[in-house]
Amino acid sequence: MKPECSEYQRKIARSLMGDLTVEERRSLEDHLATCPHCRAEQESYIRTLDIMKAADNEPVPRHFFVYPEEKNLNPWALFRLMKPRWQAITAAVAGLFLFAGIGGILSFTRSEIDVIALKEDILKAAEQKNREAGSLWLQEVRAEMARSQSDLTQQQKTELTAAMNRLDSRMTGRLTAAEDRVRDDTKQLAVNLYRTVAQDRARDLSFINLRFDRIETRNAIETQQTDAILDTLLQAAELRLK
Amino acid sequence: MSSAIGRTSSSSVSSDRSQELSWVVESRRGNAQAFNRLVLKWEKPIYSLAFRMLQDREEAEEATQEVFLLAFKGIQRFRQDSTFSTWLYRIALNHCSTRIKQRPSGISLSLDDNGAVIHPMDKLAVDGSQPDELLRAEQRHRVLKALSRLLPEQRAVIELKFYQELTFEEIAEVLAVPLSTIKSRLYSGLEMLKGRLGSQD
Repeated sequence: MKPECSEYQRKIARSLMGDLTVEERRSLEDHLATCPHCRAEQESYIRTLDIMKAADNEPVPRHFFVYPEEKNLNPWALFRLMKPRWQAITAAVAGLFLFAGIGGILSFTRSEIDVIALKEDILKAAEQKNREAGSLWLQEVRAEMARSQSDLTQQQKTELTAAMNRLDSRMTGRLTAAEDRVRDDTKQLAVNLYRTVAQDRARDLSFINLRFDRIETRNAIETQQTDAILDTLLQAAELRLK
Repeated sequence: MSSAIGRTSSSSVSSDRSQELSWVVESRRGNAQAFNRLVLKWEKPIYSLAFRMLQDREEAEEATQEVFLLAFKGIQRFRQDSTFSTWLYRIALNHCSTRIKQRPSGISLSLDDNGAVIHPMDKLAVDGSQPDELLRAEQRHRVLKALSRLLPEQRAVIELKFYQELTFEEIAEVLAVPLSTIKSRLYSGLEMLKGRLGSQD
């Protein structure tokens, strides 16, 4: 390292920033040609600036700004602002969404009927089984009673028959109540299911609408940008012609 | 080497300026459409500036939005003795430094010290099958970390000179600081960056 190097090293960054006079630059270049130490310093600066370029051109999130006049535009006005090509695409997409929506609603209604019918079948089968089990038990009790009847007095027989009848009616009553409860539960279940699915559908629809609005906004902005670019190009062309 | 930074040719600059001036005049009359043109023209540089100053994508988005809102509200006060960009850069830098000052101390950086965290956006943008892209993302991360170590005023000068390609005179106008101060901030900042980024590996 030569004694004058520190003087020159201060000028290396300045030369890269275009901040030297012609004479200063010439004398720096002469020095660099003979001094490997200062050349290394210059290379280090050049590398730094090269790497710094990597942080340039940040990807900009598109259209997160509020463009004041857009708020006043309804979807139809936006649609009319679009270029014919975009209008056609938007219309096609809208048609597709509409079609899909109607199809979805139809298929949903059908599936709901199926679910209810299935539940009804299951309920009937369960009732049948309950009834069978109940009557079987009663029959057994009656048979047992008939076997031991000979040992009983007339009064005991009457009391037993009355007790049996009470038991029978209570059983039937409980069975009916249970059936009603299950039926109500099933109805509630179906209502809840319907409500959940309807809510989901509404949410999906609003989401689709939101998406759709965004697409429209973006198209409008793209059109504006294209206009701006065209304006600028035209002006540049005019200037060149002059 | 005359200058590391090339500037656009003068004829397109002058037509640009006159176009911009007409948008400014229209904006002052309350024409939002004209102001939108200004936003579309300047959102990228202002967002990049905010991102490098604040080191956080979401905060940069917010800040950019706010800068343009401030500009829209204040366009009546914009005297046309400077260019629109000078005025806008001044608002943007003031706003960024306000935001930095308002931060609770201790959580000033979103980038951690060992550099392990790469923003999800970077991951999305990077295709693993392309080594070049991966390298670029890594370099970008290194640069941002190095920039975050500078003093805010050094970062501002480097931003305006290197990334926004302003002249020293324009920078002095934006920051309302003497030329000599600008230059000393620039070169001290560059020297620090060279220490972190200039080594050969």
